[in-house]
Amino acid sequence: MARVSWKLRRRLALVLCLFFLLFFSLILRLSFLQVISADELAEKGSSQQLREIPVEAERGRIFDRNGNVLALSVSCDSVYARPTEISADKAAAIASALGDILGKDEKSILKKLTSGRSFEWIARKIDEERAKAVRKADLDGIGLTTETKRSYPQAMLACHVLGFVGIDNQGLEGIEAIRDGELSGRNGAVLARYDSHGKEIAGSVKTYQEPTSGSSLVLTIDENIQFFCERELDAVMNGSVAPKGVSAIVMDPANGEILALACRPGYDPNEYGSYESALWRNTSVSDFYEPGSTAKILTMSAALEENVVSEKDTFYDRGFINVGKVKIRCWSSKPHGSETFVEVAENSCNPAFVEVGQRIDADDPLTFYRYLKSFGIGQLTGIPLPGESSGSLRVYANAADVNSVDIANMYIGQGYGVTMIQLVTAVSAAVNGGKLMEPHLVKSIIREDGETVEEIKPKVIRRVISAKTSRRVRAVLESVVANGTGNKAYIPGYRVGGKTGTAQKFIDGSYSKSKYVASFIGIAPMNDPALVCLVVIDEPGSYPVYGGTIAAPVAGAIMEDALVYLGVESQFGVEEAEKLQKEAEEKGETPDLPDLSSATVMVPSVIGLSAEEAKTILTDIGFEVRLTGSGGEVTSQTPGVLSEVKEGSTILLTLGETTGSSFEVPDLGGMNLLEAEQICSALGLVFIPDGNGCCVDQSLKAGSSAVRGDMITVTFKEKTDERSTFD
Amino acid sequence: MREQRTSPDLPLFLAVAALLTLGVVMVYSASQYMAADSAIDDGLYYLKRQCLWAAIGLTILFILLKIDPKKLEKWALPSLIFAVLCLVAVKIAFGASALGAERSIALGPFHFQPSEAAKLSLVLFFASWYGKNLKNNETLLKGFLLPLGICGVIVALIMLQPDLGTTATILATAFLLMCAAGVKFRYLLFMVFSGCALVVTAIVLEPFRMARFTAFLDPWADPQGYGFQTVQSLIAIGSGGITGVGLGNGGAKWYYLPEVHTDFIFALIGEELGLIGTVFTVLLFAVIIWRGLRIALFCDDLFLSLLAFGLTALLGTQTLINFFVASGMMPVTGIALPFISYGGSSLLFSLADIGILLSISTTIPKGDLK
Repeated sequence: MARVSWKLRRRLALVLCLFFLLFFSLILRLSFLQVISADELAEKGSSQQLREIPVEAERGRIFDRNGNVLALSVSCDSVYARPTEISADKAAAIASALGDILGKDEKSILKKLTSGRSFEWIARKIDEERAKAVRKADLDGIGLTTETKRSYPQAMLACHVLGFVGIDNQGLEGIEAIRDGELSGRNGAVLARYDSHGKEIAGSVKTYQEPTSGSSLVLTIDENIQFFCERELDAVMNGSVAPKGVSAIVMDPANGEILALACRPGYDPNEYGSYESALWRNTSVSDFYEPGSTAKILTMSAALEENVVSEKDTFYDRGFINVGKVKIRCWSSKPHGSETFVEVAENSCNPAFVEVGQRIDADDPLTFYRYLKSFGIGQLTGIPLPGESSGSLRVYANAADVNSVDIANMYIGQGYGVTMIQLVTAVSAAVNGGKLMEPHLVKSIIREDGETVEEIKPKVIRRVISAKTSRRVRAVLESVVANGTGNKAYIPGYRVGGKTGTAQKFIDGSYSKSKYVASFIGIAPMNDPALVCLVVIDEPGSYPVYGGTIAAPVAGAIMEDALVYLGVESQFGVEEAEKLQKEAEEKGETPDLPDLSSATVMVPSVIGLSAEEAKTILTDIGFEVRLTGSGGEVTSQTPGVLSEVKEGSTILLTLGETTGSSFEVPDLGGMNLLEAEQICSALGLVFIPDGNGCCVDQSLKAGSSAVRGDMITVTFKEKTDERSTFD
Repeated sequence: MREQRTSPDLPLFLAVAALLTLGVVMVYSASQYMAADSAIDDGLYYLKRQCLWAAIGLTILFILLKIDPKKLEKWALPSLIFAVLCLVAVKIAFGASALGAERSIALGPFHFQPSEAAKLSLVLFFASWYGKNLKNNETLLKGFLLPLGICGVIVALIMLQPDLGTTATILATAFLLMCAAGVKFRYLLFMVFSGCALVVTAIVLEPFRMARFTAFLDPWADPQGYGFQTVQSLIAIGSGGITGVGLGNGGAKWYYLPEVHTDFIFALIGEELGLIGTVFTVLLFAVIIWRGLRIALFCDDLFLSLLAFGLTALLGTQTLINFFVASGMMPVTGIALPFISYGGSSLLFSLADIGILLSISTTIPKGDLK
C-alpha cells in the first residue's frame, strides 16, 4: 500500500487554501450585490414585475345654476378577456357563449380570445342584464370590471352646451371637452405583480394609488329656461316653418350669464354615436351668418352715442338711397315717407339707417367700424365652448381702406358675419348700460373635496356706450316691439324690446333668392333688462320668411315663460298703457288697464294645488287662467301671491313637479343607481350615490319630509344573490 | 488484515443533511408556481420527485458507507469504460434532448446523465492510477501524458453534447488531482498555459462564445440577449438584500429567471433568504470541503487519500462554478448546485460522492482525528 507523503499533504493544504480564497471572494461579491447594489437591483426587479392598472378617477358632475344634475357618471360593467389564460380548445365555445349574451359577432370575439395578448376588451360599458348574464356564465379567462359611464339624465336638454365624452371618458364636445382637465380629475392605479408571461400573480400584494376625483361644474344655464327654449325650438322644427335649423340663446345682459343655449336639430349625448356628427356642432358659436336688421341696434347705439341723431329727428324715405353708383333699397316695396328716428327703427328702414350711418362717419369714415369692433364683432367672445368662430369682418386699417358701398351695407347689418353669441353679447352691451360682458357659462367649480368652491365672476371687457345712451336705445327698441316690426314678440304684462332681422343667405359669392336667415333679438323687461333672447331660424322651409313673422313669436314665447319663471314683476309700459287706452277709447270702452281707481282684487295663492283645483278657485273669483309648463302641481303664479290686480285679469300658472314646498321622501330600497338617480332628480333632491349595486340605505329616511335642493346620500351595495335576509 | 473502522465524519454528514433539506425547500419554492401554472398542473410535482430522489440518494449513501472503500479500486477501470460507453451512447442513439443539448438517457421516467457518472468514475480512476506508486506520478508518460489523454477522451465526449459546465468541472478536478498526486509542477504549468491558450482560441474563433464572454464582462449591455440569465440572476440575488424577501416571496421564479429550480437555484436563495441565506449556504459547502480535504489529509493510504481529495475537489469545483455563474463572476455555463438543484442524476451522484467520502472517513483511526 502506497503511503501519503508530506509533499502531498502540503499540496492538499495548498488546495484547501485555494478553495477558501475562492469562497472568500464569493462572499465579498455576494456582500457587494446584496448590500451595496441591493436597492438598485431590487428596483430593477420591481420595475419588470410591477404593472400599473389605471383606476379611473370619478368624473365631476355638471349642474345647472340651481343644482340640477345635467351630467353625471354612473357605474357600469365592461367585459374583458385574458387570452393567455384561455386554452385553444375552449376558445370557440367561450366566443359563442359571449356572442349570444352580448349580441356581438362571434368571429370577432374569437379573434380577440386567440390574440395571445394578456388583455383584450370584449365589450365596454354594457347594461346590467348582460353583465349579470356574463357573470353567471363564469367563463374561463373572461372577467368583468367596473367602469363609469357618462349619463345625461335630461337626454337632449342642453346637448350643445354639455357635449359628451368618449369611451374612455375623455371630453369630446361642449363643456365636457373644454373643461375636460377639471372634470376628469387624476387617475389612480393598482400596482400588481405579473409573471414574465404577462399573467397576474394571484394573491401578490397590491398597492393602491387613490385616484383624485374631478371637479364638478355649476353652469349659468337654467334647466327650466333651457327647457322653455328647446320646447319652442322643437315646435318651430315640427311646425309649418320647417326650417333647416333653429337656435336660441338667452343671456342675462347684466352679467353676461348664459341662461339657455339651444340648437335644433339636436342629439342625445347619451347616444351621440347614433347621430350624424354634423349635429354635434354648436352652430350658435361655431357658425356665422349675416345679421341683417338685428344689427341695426349697433348702428342705432353708435348714432345715439355719437349724438348725430335724436329720437325726434325726421328722415324721408323714398324707398332707396344712392350710395356712389349703387342704389340701396328698402326691404319694403312701399316707401316709408317721412318718419322720425324712432319710426325709422320701428320700420327697420334701410335708406334711413344708411343716412344715420353716414352721419356717424361724416368726420371719420372709421367711426362706425370702430363701434362694431368695440361691440366685439369680428372677435372671439371667449365663451368656454369649443370651436368658436370669430365671425367675418373686413379689415380696415385706415380711412382710405373704407369703401362707401361696403360700409353702407354694414350700417344695415349686411356685408359682415356674426356668430349668435357675438350678437347676443353685443346687444346685451347696448341695453345693459353700455358694458360689453364676456359670455359667462361656468358659474362655479366645486373641487373634488366637495367643499372648496371657486366662484367665477362675471367679466366686463370694456365700456362701449354710456349708460344714458343705453337707456335711449332701450326706449327705441321697446317701441319697435310695441309699434313696429317686432310686435309679434309682445308679451302681455311686460315691457319688451327687440329687433327683427331677415337676411338672404350668401352662398357661393352671391345672395340666394330662396334661402334666408330669419332672426329676432328680444330684450325684457325694458325698465331693467333681465333677458336678451336671440332666435335665429336657418333656411325657413316655407313662406313667410321674415324674422318679425316667424322668429319674434318664438322669442316672445321663450321670454314670457322665462320672465314668469324668474318671477320678474310684470309692469305695463307707458306706451303700451297709452296705446291700450287709445284703442279702448276708440271703441268706446273703458280701458282694460291696471287702473288703480277701478276695483282691484287680491290674488290668492294656488301654489301646490293641482291645475284643476287652481283653475276652479281662480275662475270662481273671476280671473282668467293660462297654464304653462307640464306637471301635476302649480309651482308659481304670475302676478304673484297677494298682489292686487284688476278683476278679470289673466293669471299665469306654471305647472311642474313640487318645488319649494316639502314632500315625502320615497323609499329607494332595492333600486339600482340609475333608478334612484332619476327619482331623486325628478324630485329636485341633490343625489349623492355611494357604492354600487342596489340601494340599502338613504340619508333622508323614506316618509320623512324634504324640500327641493335637499341633499340625499344613497348607499348601494352589491346584492349577494340567494342569501336569506332573515338574519 | 482487517482494519477497525471508526464512525463516519459527523460534521460532513450534518452539512450535507442541512443542504439537502434546504434544497428540498428551495426546489419547492422555485418550482411551485411554474408547476401549478404549466400543463403539469400540480404545484407539488417537483417537490415530490426531489424528495423521492433524496430518499434514493440517501439509501445509496448508506450502502456505500457500509462498503470498504479500498474495494472500490478494482472498480475504477470498469466504471470508467462503462461511463465512456454511456457517453458514446447518449450521442449516438438514446439521447433525450434538453435545452438543445443531448445530455441524458431516458430510462422510463428517469433521465440518467452519463456525464455525472463520468465525473465520479474519472475521479475513481485517477485515484487508483496515481494511488499505486508515487514515483510513477512524477514521470512524464505515466504521471502526466497518459492520464491527460484519458481525461481528454472523456472531456471531448462531453464537449460533444455540448456541456461546458461539466467539462470545466472535470478539467479543474483532474488538474487538482494531478497536483495532489505529485505530478511535476512544470507539467502542470504547461497544462495551465496550454489550457488557457485553448480557451482563448475557442472564444476568439467562435462569435457565439465571444458574445457570451463579452456578455459576462458587461451583462447589462445586452440584458435581453446573452446577458439575460446573468442579469436576471443578479436582479434576484440583489433583490434579496440582507434578509431576503422571505421564503416563497421571490419573483425570479415567475418565469423571469430560466432554470431557477435547477442551475440558478442559488439566485433564488439569494432573493428569498438574502445575504444571510447565501452566506449560510456557502459556509455549509465550505464545511463539506473542509471536512473532505481533512479526510484526505488524515488518510494514510494514498489511493484513499487521493480518492477523498478527488471527491471533495469534484464537489468543490462544481459548487464554485455554480456560485460564480449565479453571481456573475463567470460566463454562464449550465451546471447544477450539488444537493440543492432539482434533478435526479445530480442528487444521486452527489450523495454517492458523499457516501464514499464518509466511508473513507471510517478508515481513519480515532487517534488521528483530533
